[in-house]
Amino acid sequence: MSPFLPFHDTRLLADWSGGDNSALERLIPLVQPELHRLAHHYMSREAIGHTLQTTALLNEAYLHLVDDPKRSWQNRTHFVAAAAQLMRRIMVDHARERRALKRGGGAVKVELDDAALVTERRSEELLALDEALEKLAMLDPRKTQIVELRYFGGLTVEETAEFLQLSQRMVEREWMMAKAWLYRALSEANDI
Amino acid sequence: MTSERWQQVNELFQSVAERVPEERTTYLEAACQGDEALRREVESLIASYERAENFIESPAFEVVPELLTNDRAGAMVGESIAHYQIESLIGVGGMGQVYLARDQRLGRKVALKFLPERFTANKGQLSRFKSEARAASALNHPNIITV
Repeated sequence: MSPFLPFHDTRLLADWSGGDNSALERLIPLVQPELHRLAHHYMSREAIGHTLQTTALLNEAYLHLVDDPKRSWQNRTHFVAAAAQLMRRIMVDHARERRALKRGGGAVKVELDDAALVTERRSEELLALDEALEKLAMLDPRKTQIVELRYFGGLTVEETAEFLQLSQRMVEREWMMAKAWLYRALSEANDI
Repeated sequence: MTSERWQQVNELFQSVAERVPEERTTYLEAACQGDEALRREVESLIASYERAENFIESPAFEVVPELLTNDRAGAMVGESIAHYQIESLIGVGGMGQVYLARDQRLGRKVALKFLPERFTANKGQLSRFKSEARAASALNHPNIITV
């Protein structure tokens, strides 16, 4: 695999966990190569009948960081959470760009084939989900974090439980209610 | 919604969801003790849960991996590729993006097409694109764009 780019400043993560959102922005170019690898995997035929382990990928990236003696990166928790949040941000930003291009357009001509229409619909759903998650975060930050880790970060129930120091049962329960709540929010918005 | 109320909805949702469907209505009715708003809220969440099926069960990067790639519309504006300076985005489609560029050697305007990343991940589609480009470049007519 392509090596994960070393962090120029591990304080970025500390800043991010300390609530500085621009720190997350600055992390994007550093994790992007791994995310492209992930995207290509799912877009190619390899993906059929063969699942790339996102956690394994994130783990390798993390180990690469902690192996570097010059880095003081100690907190795997923050790393995984940052990765999941970054994936959410990147995907939502891309979906917004597509929407803006379609609606604003300007001199740009947009032609859509079937595959592009499917992407179009799914990226609209992603934007609706992102908005609903913002609302859920105000009611219940823990449920939002579980959804972020599982849906955007690709963690399993077991990994999420371990990561958040919760029982698997608790993660499953929280997931059920979050899923019901989000599905309802999206159905109300779009009549699916 | 207050956090106490949210907690109440949450707990009741869990207890109802754990029961077999036939018992749910009676259980919910009794548990709400006449609180109609609470009953309706939990009932609607249970109904959504039953309809949700596979909703968000597969991670986003599996469902729309395209959104994690570099295929951002207009991303190439201002870049240079070989001796072409890319000036603006002309069109976008499922088959890629077309940019207006300036050939800096010959000083003429050209259209450059970039394939979506999902194509470059597939050798078959890539070679089809190459043979199309070869076929088009063999043609020379005022109404056909040169490649």
